[in-house]
Amino acid sequence: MAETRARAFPRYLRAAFALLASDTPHHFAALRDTLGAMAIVIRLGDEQPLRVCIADGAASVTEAAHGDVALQLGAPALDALLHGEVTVEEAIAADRLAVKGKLDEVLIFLDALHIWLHGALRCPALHDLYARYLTDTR
Amino acid sequence: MIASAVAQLDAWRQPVAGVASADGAYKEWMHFCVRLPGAQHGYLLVNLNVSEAKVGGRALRTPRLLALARLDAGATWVGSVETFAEQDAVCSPGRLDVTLGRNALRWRDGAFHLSLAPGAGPGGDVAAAIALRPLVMPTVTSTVSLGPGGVIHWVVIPRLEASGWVQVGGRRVTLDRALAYHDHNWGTFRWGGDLSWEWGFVHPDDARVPWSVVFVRISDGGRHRILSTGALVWRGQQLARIFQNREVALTLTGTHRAAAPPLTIPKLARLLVPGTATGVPARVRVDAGDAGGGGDTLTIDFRTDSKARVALPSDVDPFKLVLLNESCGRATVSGSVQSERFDFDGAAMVELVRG
Repeated sequence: MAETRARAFPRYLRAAFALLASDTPHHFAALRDTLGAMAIVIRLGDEQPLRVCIADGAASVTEAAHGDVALQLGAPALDALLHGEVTVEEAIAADRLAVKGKLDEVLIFLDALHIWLHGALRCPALHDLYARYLTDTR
Repeated sequence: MIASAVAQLDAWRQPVAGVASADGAYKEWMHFCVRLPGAQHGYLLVNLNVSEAKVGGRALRTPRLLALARLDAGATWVGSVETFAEQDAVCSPGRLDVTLGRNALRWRDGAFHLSLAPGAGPGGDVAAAIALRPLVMPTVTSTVSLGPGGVIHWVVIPRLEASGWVQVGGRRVTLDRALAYHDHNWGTFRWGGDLSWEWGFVHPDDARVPWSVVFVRISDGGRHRILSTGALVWRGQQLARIFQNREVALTLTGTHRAAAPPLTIPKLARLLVPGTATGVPARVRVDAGDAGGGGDTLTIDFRTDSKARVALPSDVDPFKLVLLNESCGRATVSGSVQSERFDFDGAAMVELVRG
């Protein structure tokens, strides 16, 4: 049976960062410079929280609950975001996405997300990875 | 004669895969718009393209397939953009055949045979098998200089008849000699460079109407300086009149507003361009007249009904997008060419490139 999307998410997220760093290094560098020492905590459904940061020039995705900005969303909400069915603002307004943190740090996170998206749109391999995420998981 | 002209004028210029050019700025695409039956404003748009860009300092050539469709007035657009690995893209310069993964364009027996497989990736909502037979002569190659190192060329066939089937979001419709439009563009330029355009055509509601019209305006990015304007009129199979530059005026008025944000592909791009504001005008009016004081005239009054967007990464700014707004609507066309008057209504599409 295929792995659930929430369970597979950390592995795909690590792979996505690796692709961003290798295929669009300009965007990865901008992401690193924007986030600085900040850590983002992502909790997808009931899975363990993931702490995402960039340290020593590489992305780190580990199971940990402490960070500067915390995101909580379900797998359907993540799918809806990736499908462009809702925007970040719409997901927050609909209580499908919770973003917690100091305002200036949340704004830095949103800047980082935009950088990520611009990199993702310029990285065909990331699109393929996303397609595999949708087809190989449930 | 039409088939022979198409085979000679419309062939691919560059391979769709392989090593990119030195400056990494070459682009080429085959573009088809097919009127869908049973609807005032339904169209299928298919674009097979190769686009070079510099990513991370390397020049990359990427083959892509865009497919967008809207079945009925009031219906939502569906569509996707699919990117292909080099080994999955096949095309030879001088030929019209293109293979992109499980999708293919074949030139056989005087017609394009287009087959679209449902995409494996997200949003693979459109499938089709269509024969598109050109009914009018193509233009010879038109060329516009875009400044140092920049140029765009095109060939246009405004009227083809399309037969086959299209599946849109799980609904299949049959095409029986539906009207279609085709253009082929190639050149060297950068998306997001100093460039914008409006490009449109009208298909008469009554297929017996022998007139076909196409218009284009290419401008700098801010639309302060017009580089080229044209309005082309065919009567029957023959190109009857080309109005050029100072003979043509395009006027964009109002803003098309919709209750919901338009479909944007790739769908992830919607996170970067949220909201309903797109800058698509409510109306596009084309007024053309004989600069030499002759009696030839053309007026096209296009009213936007709906739109979808294709978001392309800017080649110039790594944190910007270029938006190709694909607008469907109705148009009223009137005028006189070679002392013959025409006046008809029809479905139309206008593409507005911004960014």
